[in-house]
Amino acid sequence: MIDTIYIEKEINDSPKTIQILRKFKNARKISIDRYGEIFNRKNQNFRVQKIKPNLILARKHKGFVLPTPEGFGIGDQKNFYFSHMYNCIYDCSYCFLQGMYSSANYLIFVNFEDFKREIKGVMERNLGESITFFSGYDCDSVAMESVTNFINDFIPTFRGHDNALIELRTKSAQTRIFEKLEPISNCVIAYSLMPEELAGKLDKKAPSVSLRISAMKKLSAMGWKIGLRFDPLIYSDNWKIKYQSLFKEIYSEIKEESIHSVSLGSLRFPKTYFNKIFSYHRQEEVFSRLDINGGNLVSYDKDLESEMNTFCKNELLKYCNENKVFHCYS
Amino acid sequence: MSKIDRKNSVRWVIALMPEAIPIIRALRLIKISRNLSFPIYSDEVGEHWLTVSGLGQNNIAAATKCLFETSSADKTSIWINVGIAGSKTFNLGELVFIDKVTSNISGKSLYPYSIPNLKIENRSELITVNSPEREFGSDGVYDMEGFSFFEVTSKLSSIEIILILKIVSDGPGSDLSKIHKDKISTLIETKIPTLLRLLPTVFSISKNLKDQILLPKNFEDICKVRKFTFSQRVTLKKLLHQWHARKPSKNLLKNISVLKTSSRIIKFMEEELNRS
Ligand code: SF4
Repeated sequence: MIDTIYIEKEINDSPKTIQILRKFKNARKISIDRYGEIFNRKNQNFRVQKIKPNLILARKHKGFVLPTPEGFGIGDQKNFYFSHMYNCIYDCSYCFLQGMYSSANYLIFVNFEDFKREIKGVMERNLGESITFFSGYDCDSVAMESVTNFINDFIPTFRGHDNALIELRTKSAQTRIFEKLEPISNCVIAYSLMPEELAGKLDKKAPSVSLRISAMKKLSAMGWKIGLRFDPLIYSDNWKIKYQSLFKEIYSEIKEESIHSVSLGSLRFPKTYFNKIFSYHRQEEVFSRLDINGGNLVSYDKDLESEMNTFCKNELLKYCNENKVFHCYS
Repeated sequence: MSKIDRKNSVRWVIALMPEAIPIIRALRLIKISRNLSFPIYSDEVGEHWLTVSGLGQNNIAAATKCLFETSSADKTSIWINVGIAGSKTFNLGELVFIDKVTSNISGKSLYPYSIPNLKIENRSELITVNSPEREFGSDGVYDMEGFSFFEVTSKLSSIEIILILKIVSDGPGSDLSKIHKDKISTLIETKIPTLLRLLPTVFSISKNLKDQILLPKNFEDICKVRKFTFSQRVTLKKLLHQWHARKPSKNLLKNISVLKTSSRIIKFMEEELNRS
């Protein structure tokens, strides 16, 4: 439950603010000028705040839709991302948001209409080209749906725009929202996955992998497209066997034709993020095999990285077509 | 910035002597006999330190800086401002946790962290004024120091361990500067058990911060005698945390002194930890 909600004065009366506040009748509401006063200040600690994050409601003023970094894509000609929210209710040990933000508070930009207007603008400016819009770069797209109503609000924007795909990246096993909507062919519900044993240790507060697979199965049966995201691939003892059996389990539950795309990328961090994240999780096994590669990147050594990517890709090709498999390196 | 200290570390900044006396007594603080601009008190082990600033924002800013330097505080030190305040919203004697503090002069607001599970029912905005307030136009509580205290301490320490706590001493029509000093001491005295009960929660946050900053014991000694790569240093830190948690009595430095390379040290520690 949320104890404290900071609200920018400017959006106090916005319909989305009112809708969200209705869900937290007992929370203390504190009026603020700009979200940065809370979210971006120095001398605050992500890990301490993560114990019980507060909520910030704000208005985004610019940069609603941005091009993705190079190496980020699932087959379309152009790739963009947008973030209606920063931070996440789950607490994965390797989550790069811990390195990126100094606050663990949940920040929701309530001016969804501006995001949607900009998305439509990008679609219009790129008619005749295939575009993917990624959501869930700075949060989990589905996990906070009961608060944000994000999916319900955004899916209609994509209905009928077949050249534009939206990816909703998640670890949530929640399916209710999708059950209420008519499936569209240009939405991919992309699940982040790893072997259950690793997820049990690392994906804290997130649903188990078997629950995620059950959700995928349910949604694919309803006609939603599913994405499989093995990013990050994580090294551990017997990693080959663990990933082999994970892939086998997934493809025994979900029909290949329901799977839109598969992407992989091994564990990697910008060095500055890594130092911060490692200071939060010093006892974590997962960080042991990492090293500085190429100056600013902390990752597995090149041989191990390439072995993991190649092995997993070859295993996946036993179940799916090569044109569905993508390698993330950004 | 001074070295991070493993022990608990609390810095109390109090405006008036009658407010400070009950805290000085409860924590058995002794005055430091040095020629300082503000009176400073400390307990025997140097965990709790306290200064009395005098009224007003300039005084509290200067006293806070003086205490920071004198007590070798670090960025994991807890800072607490306790004092009386006026309010039309809360009842006399109520303790109020401040989660927003606004300067009446600049209109600027700052936001102390809402510490979860602190078990103080009252939370409010604090308005810091430059002269005693009699009208209490806004809801919330009024004082003459809180804004400056938070402004200064939030540059010295992590904001999650800075607390402003106010005890309501008067309401509309009364004059804060004319309250009898015994009444002030009694108001604070009554809340001492509550104040002390808050400390373990804040200590655990401070410990969390220390754990993030402090290198594990022996890390620097070991890195001085053998050369470790980046990846090995990451592994060594992890192993040292596990070692000190699981084998606190085993003399690690003696055991590894015969090992000639960093890889051997890591191998030895892994094997020992796997054995236990
Ligand atoms: S689900 Fe994603 S965004 Fe959420 S904590 Fe885990 S890695 Fe971070």
